[in-house]
Amino acid sequence: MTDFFKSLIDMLRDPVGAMSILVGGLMIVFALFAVEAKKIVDSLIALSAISLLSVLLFVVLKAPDVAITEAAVGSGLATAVMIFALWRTDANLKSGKESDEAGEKR
Amino acid sequence: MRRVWAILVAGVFLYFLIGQFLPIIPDFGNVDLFTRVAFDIINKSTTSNYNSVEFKKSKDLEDGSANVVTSIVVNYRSFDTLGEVSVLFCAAIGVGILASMLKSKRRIEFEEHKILRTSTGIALPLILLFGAYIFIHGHLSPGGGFPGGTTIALGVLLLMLSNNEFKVTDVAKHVEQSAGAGYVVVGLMGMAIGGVFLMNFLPTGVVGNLFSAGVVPIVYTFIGFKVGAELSNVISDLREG
Repeated sequence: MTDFFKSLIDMLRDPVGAMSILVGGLMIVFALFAVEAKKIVDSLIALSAISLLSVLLFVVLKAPDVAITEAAVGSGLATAVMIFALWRTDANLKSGKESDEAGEKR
Repeated sequence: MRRVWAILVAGVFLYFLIGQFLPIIPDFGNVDLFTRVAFDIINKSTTSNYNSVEFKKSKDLEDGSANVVTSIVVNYRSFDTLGEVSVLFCAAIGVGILASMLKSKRRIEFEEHKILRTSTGIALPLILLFGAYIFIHGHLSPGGGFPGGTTIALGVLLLMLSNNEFKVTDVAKHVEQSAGAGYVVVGLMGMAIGGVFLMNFLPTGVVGNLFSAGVVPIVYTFIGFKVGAELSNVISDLREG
């Protein structure tokens, strides 16, 4: 257990390690939020935020190729595709007035 | 109860990761992985012994791309990339079929925002230019066909969000078809000239110049157009009824 705290403090001491721990902790928080959120749209936005934060980690780890791809695909396009799919299927599930209201304007 | 178990498992995992595993591996940045891996690959040669490579000076290398990832993805392992492109094509087909099977034929409409619409006119050319830059300079700087094409598709998505009348026409399909065929044609040309499918048959030029690395920029331009058109089609399939 002492090794655990020693390495944790070592990581916190240099700025890059502290930033990595901060970003990683935020990613865990967003992941928990994505699991626990009531609305699916909130989960999708949390997933997008996870992708955006992982871009920072990729840049720190000197993988700019992966960072660019993750920024474009993970946090941009995948979220849009999932939200569009959610709206299209949502309009199917609802019926009557709600469907009309939901389908008209977003 | 399930939550308690999840926290326990995560705690044990984190303990082993931070307490046991992290002290073993060396500190980040002190390994000198760059000289160990990247320089040896930049001095790459599979046929003979290698000499040192200087940026903007060395010419006629086996593969003249300055970006190591690109030289592996599009030159040494180009057949894998052809497979990836076809996997993306299959995914686009699947999305199209699924979207056409949905019962509701109503297309997704957005409220008109004057600010968004005006600023799209300014931002869209820059986004398209950046996407084109990423895939044209794929052999020099980080990036390549897939991120560049995705950036172009994101520009199309922005156009969709801002403009209700905008539709992706059949031009995207034709662009995608001809770009995908162009990749195979480049491969067949390599077969005709060098005897190997997808061979790098053009002169590789000086490392670091725009016109270098043989067929890599051509192939990446094809992939960029193909991916951009394909992903625009995926979004528009999901949007249209």
